[in-house]
Amino acid sequence: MSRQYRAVAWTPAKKKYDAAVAAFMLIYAAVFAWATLVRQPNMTAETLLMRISGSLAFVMLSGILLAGPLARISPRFLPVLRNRRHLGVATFFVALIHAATALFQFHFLGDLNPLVSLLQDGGATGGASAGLPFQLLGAAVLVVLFLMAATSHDFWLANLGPGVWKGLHMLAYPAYAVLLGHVAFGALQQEASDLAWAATAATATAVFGIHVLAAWRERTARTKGAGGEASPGIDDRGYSRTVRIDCLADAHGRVVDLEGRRVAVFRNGLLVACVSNVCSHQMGPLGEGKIVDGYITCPWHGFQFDPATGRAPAPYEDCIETYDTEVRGEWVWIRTTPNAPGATARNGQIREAAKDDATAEPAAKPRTWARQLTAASLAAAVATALVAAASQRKLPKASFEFGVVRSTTGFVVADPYPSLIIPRGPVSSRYLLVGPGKHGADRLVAGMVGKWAKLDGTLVFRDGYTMVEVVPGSVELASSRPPPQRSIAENLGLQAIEGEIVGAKCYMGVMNPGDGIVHRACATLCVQGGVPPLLRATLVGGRTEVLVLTGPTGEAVDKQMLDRVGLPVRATGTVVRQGPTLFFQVAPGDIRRTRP
Amino acid sequence: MRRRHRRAHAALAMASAATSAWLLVAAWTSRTNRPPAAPFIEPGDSAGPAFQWTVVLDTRQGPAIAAYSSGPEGGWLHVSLPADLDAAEPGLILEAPGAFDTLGSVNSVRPSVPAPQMPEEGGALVLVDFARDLRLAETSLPRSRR
Repeated sequence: MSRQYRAVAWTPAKKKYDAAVAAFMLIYAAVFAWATLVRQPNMTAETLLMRISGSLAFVMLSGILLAGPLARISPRFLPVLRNRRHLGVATFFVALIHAATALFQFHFLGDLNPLVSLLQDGGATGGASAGLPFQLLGAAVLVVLFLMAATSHDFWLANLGPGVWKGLHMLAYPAYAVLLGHVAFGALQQEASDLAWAATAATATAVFGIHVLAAWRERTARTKGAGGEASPGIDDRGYSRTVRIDCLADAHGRVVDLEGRRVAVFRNGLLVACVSNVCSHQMGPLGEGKIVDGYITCPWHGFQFDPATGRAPAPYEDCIETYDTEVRGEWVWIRTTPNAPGATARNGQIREAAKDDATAEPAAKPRTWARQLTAASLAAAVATALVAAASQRKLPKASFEFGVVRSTTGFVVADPYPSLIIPRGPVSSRYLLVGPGKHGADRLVAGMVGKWAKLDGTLVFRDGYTMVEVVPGSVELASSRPPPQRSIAENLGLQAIEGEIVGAKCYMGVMNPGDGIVHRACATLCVQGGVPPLLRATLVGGRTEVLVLTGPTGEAVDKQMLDRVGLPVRATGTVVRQGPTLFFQVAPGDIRRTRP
Repeated sequence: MRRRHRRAHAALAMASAATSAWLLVAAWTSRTNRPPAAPFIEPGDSAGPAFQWTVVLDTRQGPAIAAYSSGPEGGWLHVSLPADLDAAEPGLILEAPGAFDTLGSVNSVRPSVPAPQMPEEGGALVLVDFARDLRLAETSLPRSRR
């Protein structure tokens, strides 16, 4: 039946399912974007896309894992379980968007191969050194999602075999655990509120808790029997009492424990049939399916079997085991010894009077329920998006005039970092200069140091600070006037400061946020590429002060401290003020991490 | 599913749940966004004899005040401005050795900047400027004035 390649058969049910999945994704993305931008209009588009896709992938993978146990608890959730592979493939593509955005944002445009940078996980000198390497955890999850998505076709099932295929797809569980590590050691480290932690922990608890609940219910049913009473055991003819007739809905199955074995019992009009619960296709739970056109239909992929013989309809040749059944009073008795696959079983017959007694699920109007389930899913998309958006920390007012080029003239200095000095009355303003991507401006202004120059650039703003991303090749001599009067450097004394080393370019507004553990790899690449490092000092009440980080005698910083970029550090050094700019002169050895 | 697959399924789910719990707890306890270590003195505490305070008031850029302890646990404190200093002439530099509660109650502490190393003779002292939320201002105070 499945031993040859067949294209995906797009049935109307599958199209509706996929439409519901697409609507879920679009609504989640729209609500998340709206709720975020209302509160944080300064967030950059890349960051927004990365957060939407990352949180959506987490929600979708949680939903995928929830579908199985929910369907075991109530067949009302079977519509979610059917075609779950479509949800899995969609999750992979959402995760791929997240990964591609993060890879581009944090690892491209630097001096290091992006994949090498990813493997180092932001640790410039020998790998990650801040907790678990969360980016590598995310990459591992993406690999698993890719494997599962790529093999979500019968072609691979036939080639790998059901055992290997199922084992591969059960990797979703460890992948989910690793994903939680990726989230907890990455994004959650950025958030100041506990809401994000609580929401993540609650989701994980729900995923695993529902599994425990489903297992407990099955165990209870196995112990007490499907009718809620203990089984009297096997009679002398080899039959076991299993389930009450009124627990069986017409044309629907039920999974029943038969002396430690799971079998699928179906009520088909006045007949009661029993077959193996394991679909020969990929071991789907037949008991969670229903009878369509007279055939037992697997809930996973629609493979069909005759209730009496266990044979697939021609021309297919798949067979499953069948069991003899008898109806004695209100109970269904099943012979514990299976018939050979494909052999005709004796099916028990229900009395006419009992025909309409069935009170079991599912509901009488599956279409109505499907609509309700779809509406509930879409409402869940809105709710989860709002919670995810609300759990983000408030971002500073920082911006990057991307695409806007301005010309300006000033005096170029290179010590400790390339800067443009522009006289403004009695004082001078200093604008740090950087190059495109994750690079400094050393090479761009190399021939103009100590001269008046005109240059084109794009401005970056934050908290009254302004810096310029210089357009390569735009720097030209403006005049040969004498240098402007420089502000006097004032020694403010030795200070011990806690904070974080950040790359000036991203922190000032090219990325928002441009700090924290998530941004660490980018900050490391930036500083490595010559972007001036800043020490973002943490002050009372969460306020910050920014100091330009230099070596102990005011020179450009030593690259030995790259492994501490983006991490909480404590440093003891001298604070020097020159005009409005504060410098922090410190030896690399005096910068220490405050947390392991 | 066959029984061994069911068991493998259950074992994998349980192992994943345990791993998830461990990862969440480990990440929570090592989170980098938690506030700095506990301050050496809590708001509302009074200065004990172990603290020898030198309090410097700088009103050149609006109301500002900072306190410095010369002891090993010293650090910066924000203290409320006494009412009679509200009208202090801008640019006036005052000093008030002794317990900081002579100038009012403690508003908050700045634990992230512990005791700067004061030079033996003269030197610089960094003040905290309330007017711009902790912009570092500077004044040089001869040793004799403290």
